[in-house]
Amino acid sequence: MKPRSVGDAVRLLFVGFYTLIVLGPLVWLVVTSFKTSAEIYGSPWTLPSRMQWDNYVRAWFEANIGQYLFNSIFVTAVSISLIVIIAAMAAYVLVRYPFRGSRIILVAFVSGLMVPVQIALVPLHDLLRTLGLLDSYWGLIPVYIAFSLPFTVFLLSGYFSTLPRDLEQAAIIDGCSHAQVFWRVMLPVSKPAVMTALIFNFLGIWNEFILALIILASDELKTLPLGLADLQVVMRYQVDWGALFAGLVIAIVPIFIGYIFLQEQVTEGATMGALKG
Amino acid sequence: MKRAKNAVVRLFLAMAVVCLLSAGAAAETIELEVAVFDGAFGTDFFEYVAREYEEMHPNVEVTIQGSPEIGIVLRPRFLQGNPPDVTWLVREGITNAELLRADLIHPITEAMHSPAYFQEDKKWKETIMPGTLRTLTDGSDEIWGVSLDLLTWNMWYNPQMFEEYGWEPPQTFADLMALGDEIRQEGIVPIALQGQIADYNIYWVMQFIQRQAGMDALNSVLNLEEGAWLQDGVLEAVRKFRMLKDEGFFQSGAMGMDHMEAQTQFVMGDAAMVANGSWMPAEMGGIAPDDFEMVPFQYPKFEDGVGDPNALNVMDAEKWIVPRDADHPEQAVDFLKFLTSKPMAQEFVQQKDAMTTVVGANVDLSEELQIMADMVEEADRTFTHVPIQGWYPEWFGTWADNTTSLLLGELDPEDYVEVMETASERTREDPNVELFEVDF
Amino acid sequence: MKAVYRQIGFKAGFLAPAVGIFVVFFIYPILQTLHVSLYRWGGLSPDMDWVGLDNFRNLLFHDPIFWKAVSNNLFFLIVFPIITLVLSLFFASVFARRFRGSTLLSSVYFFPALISWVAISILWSFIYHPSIGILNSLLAGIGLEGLARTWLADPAVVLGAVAAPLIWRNVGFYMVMFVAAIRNIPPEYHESALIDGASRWTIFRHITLPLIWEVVSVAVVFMVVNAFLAFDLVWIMTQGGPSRHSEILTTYFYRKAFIEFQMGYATAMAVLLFIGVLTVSLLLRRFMQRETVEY
Repeated sequence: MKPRSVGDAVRLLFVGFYTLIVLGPLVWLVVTSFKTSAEIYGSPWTLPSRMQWDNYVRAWFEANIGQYLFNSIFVTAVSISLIVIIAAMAAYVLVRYPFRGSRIILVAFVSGLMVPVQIALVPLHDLLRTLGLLDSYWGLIPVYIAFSLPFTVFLLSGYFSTLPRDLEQAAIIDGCSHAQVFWRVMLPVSKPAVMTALIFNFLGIWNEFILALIILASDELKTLPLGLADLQVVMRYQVDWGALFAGLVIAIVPIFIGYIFLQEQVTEGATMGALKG
Repeated sequence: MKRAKNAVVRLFLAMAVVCLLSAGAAAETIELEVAVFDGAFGTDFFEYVAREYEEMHPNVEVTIQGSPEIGIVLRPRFLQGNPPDVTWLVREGITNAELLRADLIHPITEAMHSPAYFQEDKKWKETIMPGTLRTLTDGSDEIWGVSLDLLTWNMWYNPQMFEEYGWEPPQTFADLMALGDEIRQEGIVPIALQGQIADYNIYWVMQFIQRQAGMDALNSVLNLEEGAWLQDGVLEAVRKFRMLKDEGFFQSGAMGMDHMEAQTQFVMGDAAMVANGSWMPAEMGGIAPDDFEMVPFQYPKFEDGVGDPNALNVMDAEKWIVPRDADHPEQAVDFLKFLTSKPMAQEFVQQKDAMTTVVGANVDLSEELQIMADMVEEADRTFTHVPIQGWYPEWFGTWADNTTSLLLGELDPEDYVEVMETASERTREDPNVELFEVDF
Repeated sequence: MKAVYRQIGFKAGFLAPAVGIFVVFFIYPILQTLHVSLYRWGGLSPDMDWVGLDNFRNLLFHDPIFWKAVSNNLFFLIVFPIITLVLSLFFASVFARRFRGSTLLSSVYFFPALISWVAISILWSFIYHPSIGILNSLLAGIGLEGLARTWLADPAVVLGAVAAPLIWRNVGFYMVMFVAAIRNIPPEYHESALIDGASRWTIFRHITLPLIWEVVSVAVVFMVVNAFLAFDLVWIMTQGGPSRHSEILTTYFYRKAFIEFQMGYATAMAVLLFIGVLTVSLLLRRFMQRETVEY
């Protein structure tokens, strides 16, 4: 956009200004993560005199960010795989093998979109307590799955309903069972929708805070958001802001890398969620 | 329905206990699980006590679990009915007061009347500072917990800075005002204050009310008595506290800082004084420059006040308790008795540079601690917020909010006492709140 | 016959995991919410006292903090969507026409939407920090010391300070959504308008906006619901302080339920929150519905 008019120039100015607003905090975060505490207490504008990689070492080992990162990867990977498989199976049957009542089940799932998880926290907490599943992934993951089902079922059922009938008929003639048709034909064909579902749920669960907050307690189980919130409290006592900033960078970098490689899918997966509204 | 669920849980628990007992009978080992707050004192001293205890009781194995957020870590275990045998809960997550209200604590009253460890001629109860056994109570005569460390809340100054400028720690409120002015003119912050943990500022208000209007007035406030806040002395105390803000004695941005940030200003030499507990040397040890010194002193007396100039805010800290659902309650109580025995308490004082509630164990103290121990000694009367916060959490929260508003300048002292009077009335008349009485 | 039987087995087998988890971990807790809200329950002990609608009555008529939270919530869900909408529509209109670097820049704008709220909250609480924060020092640097303040502890500005990262995280996100919608508009519409000599604003107002209205209205509902349910941000940055000036319904709920253990009372609040979210989003939908322009 070459400024051809005053209007264009003003627009460019705004774009430049907002770019600073978006990038400023992130750049400041990265720069500060390499400073000593004394430098942090000095001017926020100076560059670190020497790169304090040690901040990262402390964040990773002493502050356990490494462990939290691993926990988050585990919880998110297990949850999103299960969500997509479970939701796809259900959506497939509901759309392709309608029976009396299938419509109601589908509507029940989809109307779950209107229910925010916040309203169910107390009974969820009590349910997990009764089942002895507090402070355990066996409590956290099923809850993640349950609250991801509405959107995932909605998305996948929509996609399945657009697929042509011939696909599975051909497979059945070839001697596949109904289940085999699903695994070998329909699921592979639905890769774009599955990808969107995976990314959407990844973002939701990777960043999830309040459920983890009420369900998990032990340090060795905490996910990244919970661990970061904790770290903020712990670092307060050690007044070690360098390690805290380093911890934040460690938490953001995997997302950044994923975004570089999967930019289009990520954008699509994320914005799809707006349909929830 | 809740009860039915609970019955099932208990059945399982009972079965688990039976299994554990039969296993225990075979091996004859009792595994005692002790969960502690891993804060200023760390866990090494408790490990030491555990080893000593095991030496005396070869059939017991003690494990120490520590966390800076022990209340949060243990919450699910309390809720699911499998807590450790002994807990020392500090700060958020779950508190002793809540556990007591839910009837989840095992009383130690009986053991308190049994002979103490290493002092057979005395009952356990007689070896602990008397006031401290009453600060965790449901109004009955039961004793629910015991504390090991003794904390005071007082002021601190920077002796090097004071010497350099020829200042003296203020004895009276007038001294404080004059000194504050002088300090400010040197471009130094007179008092480092923090706004994020509102409780800390309540301690100021409590001491000011005591100094100005007397202990009875403070008692009436804490007992939610009608008209307590409307006494002239109480209003004057609040005015004096607010004066510190209006005179600009606190650093800018104070209300956005937490205690660590404010205390950092103090140890970095940006502020001359700070109010904080006796744990401050331990808390700031890793942050203060190596040659930094801090000396405790009493809040100044009020020339026009009727209060006790030696009265001290003494927090007997958080109690060690035995959960009702502990696997080995008897052994756990015995461990507590051992932990608070005179030799162990003396060891605690030595190793941790701290004070203890165990009678006669505060010997060979460091210089600063000796000053505080003397303050405790000189104080004819002591008071604490600890039980109040447990009894009336909502009222206490309102007090904290309003104190923040007072310091932000949103509430004037006159409004402050009005809204607090209303808050007391509300709590007093709430049928769901059980009322207690303090007599400091 | 056998085939039909197998089909039932297949259907049931495929449906069972989803339906099972959904019933146990979604439907049951939601129904329980209604149930628990009618009790006084300490949460730690199993004793629950039936109090009927008392929790609701106390919330609505005797709890000033609840109303403070409601009004703070209203601030959030009016101010945040308006600013976000204006900014994201503006940038969408700029970015809809590709220019050199536009793809890269729009990716940059979008990126904050992927960062967790917790990380953003911690980052921003340091931006506002009274001694090491960058904002006050920035203001001083451009000669505006007068504006510097303790952002998260100043009742006058705390709500705005907490809302700023909400906007920062979301503008790029909605912009990307709107850009996609604008690019879907067949170019003839713009071209013919340009030939007619219409100004850019006129084109945007009378052609672009009506054509993407569907997407905009969905986005607005989404913004409002998200602002309603924000928790992480406020909890991490201020915990509702100072003196409850940034308390919102979700943080007040969390405090009541999991810190003060007033589970029944908190659950009643959750019910009201749900009713609030539902009402607001239905009203908005109705309000924003107009004739969708077909093309």
